[in-house]
Amino acid sequence: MKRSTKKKIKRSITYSLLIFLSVVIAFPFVWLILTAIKTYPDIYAYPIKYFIFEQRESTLTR
Amino acid sequence: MKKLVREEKTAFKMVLPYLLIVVLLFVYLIGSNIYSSFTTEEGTFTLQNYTSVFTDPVVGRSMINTVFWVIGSVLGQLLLGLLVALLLNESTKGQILFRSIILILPWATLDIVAGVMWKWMYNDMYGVLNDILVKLNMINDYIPWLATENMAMISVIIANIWKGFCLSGMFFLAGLQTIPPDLYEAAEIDGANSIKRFWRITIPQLKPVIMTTLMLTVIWTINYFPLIYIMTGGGPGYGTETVVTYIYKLGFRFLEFNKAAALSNILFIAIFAIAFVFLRSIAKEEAR
Repeated sequence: MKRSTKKKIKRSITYSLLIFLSVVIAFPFVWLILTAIKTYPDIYAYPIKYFIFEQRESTLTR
Repeated sequence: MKKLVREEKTAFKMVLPYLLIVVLLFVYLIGSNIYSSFTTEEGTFTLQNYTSVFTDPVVGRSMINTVFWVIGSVLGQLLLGLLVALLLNESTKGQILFRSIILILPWATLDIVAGVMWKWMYNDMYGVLNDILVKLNMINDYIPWLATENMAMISVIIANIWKGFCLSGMFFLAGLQTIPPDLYEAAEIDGANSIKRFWRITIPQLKPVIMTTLMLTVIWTINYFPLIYIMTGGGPGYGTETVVTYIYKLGFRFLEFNKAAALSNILFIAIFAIAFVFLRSIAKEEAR
């Protein structure tokens, strides 16, 4: 019983670390793709727009 | 020498033309580089190029920068690669998915693309890294990643670790999979805990792989040009100027081809010496 719980803890630590690492490591690539499909004003939006469908009133058009 | 089988002879004959072209190309390029490093622009013999390299303060600065760049990048790459390899070796389900995300994606990204991407992420105003770190409350103000000399070096090293750790990760994973599992079982029966098992079994068994990977990574990092050139171009000031970017600048910006040739010959000899030391220690390790 003790042995199996120990194994379970070990496995969950392994997988959570793996998921964390893959999120961190894949992030630059995801950001590359997200930037590639944005329009020019969206790329230079401040504060940063994370997704293209994020609607926000532009200060320039007002 | 062992006698060649007939098929092997045919194979060598078929490879020969290609081999000749490659070898001649190398010999010609290195020869012309050595020739131009010992001549002036008019074509007379001189040692001026070498003396001007040794008296140039930027060369010393770029060598120090190269040492930092190599130590930071190689340490980061090997440690992250080892961590990823150990984790992937532990996992059973979804190993292919994690392997393709962690080990393939950065390696498959082009050098130029990675450089432009990191430069944009490091941007002071519109960069995503500052935004995320502020939102996570890890920093209070935006960091000018590529604007000060020390910070630029650290940023470039981080980008290089991201780009290059996959190779050592893959090598280590392959090395870990060759360790026989009965070693671990025997150690477990003898009562060794997991930290002891790591230091007494995993590291010694992995040592040849670590040495080879260390050698390859050191040489590639010294020679690695595109990422640092795209991201900072050697700037700000001479903050991230490594020897290779300075050779490029000397040759193609300042048009001092002979001096650039002299500096690249010095770099070649230095890399050759490093490789020689590594190869000898690897050979010694194997002979034991």
